Amino acid sequence: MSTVALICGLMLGAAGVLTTLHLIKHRELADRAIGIDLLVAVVLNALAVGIASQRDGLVAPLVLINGLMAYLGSVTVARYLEERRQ
Amino acid sequence: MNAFVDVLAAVLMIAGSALALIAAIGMFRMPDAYSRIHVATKPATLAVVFTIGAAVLQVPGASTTTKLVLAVILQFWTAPVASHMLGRAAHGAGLRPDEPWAIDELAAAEQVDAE
Repeated sequence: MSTVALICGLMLGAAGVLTTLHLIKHRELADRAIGIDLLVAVVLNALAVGIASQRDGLVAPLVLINGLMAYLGSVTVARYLEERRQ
Repeated sequence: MNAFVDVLAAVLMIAGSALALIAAIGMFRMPDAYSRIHVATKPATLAVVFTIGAAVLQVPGASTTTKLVLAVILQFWTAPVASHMLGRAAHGAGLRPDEPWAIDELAAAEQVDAE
């Protein structure tokens, strides 16, 4: 199981680094909001993989909170971007 | 039975992580903001189902299972809303579909509204 966790950790880490590079590369604000959305989804997956590999549900509430905060953040940023246009 | 559950959980974990990695690569390969929203949705829904499914298989106890299943349900409720809002924001910021076959219905509707 630890080998699987290591492989998953490497893949998720690479995904996080690539998404951060995308955030740096694209200067458009809406594009960056999309990148942050993906980054939070990667963190969510990493938390779930951590729970599965440790077999310990201690951080299960964090998965719940992470998902809801991702929604709140994305919608708020999108609202502000729309308000700025008008 | 135990070994079978372990293998199933491992396959789900690797599938979910691979989806996240593929989405991160897709962020560079896709031409415009709307294709990137389409890419970013996969780790937020399908990969979450895979990895949280693996966690539910591995962790005993009803309280953890309840929290994790609730997280999946809320993710499926909220992810489309967030994507829609981001798409509207991208359209409002002046980003247009980069594909020749894409149909921009929102721009046509706004033109009708303005007239």
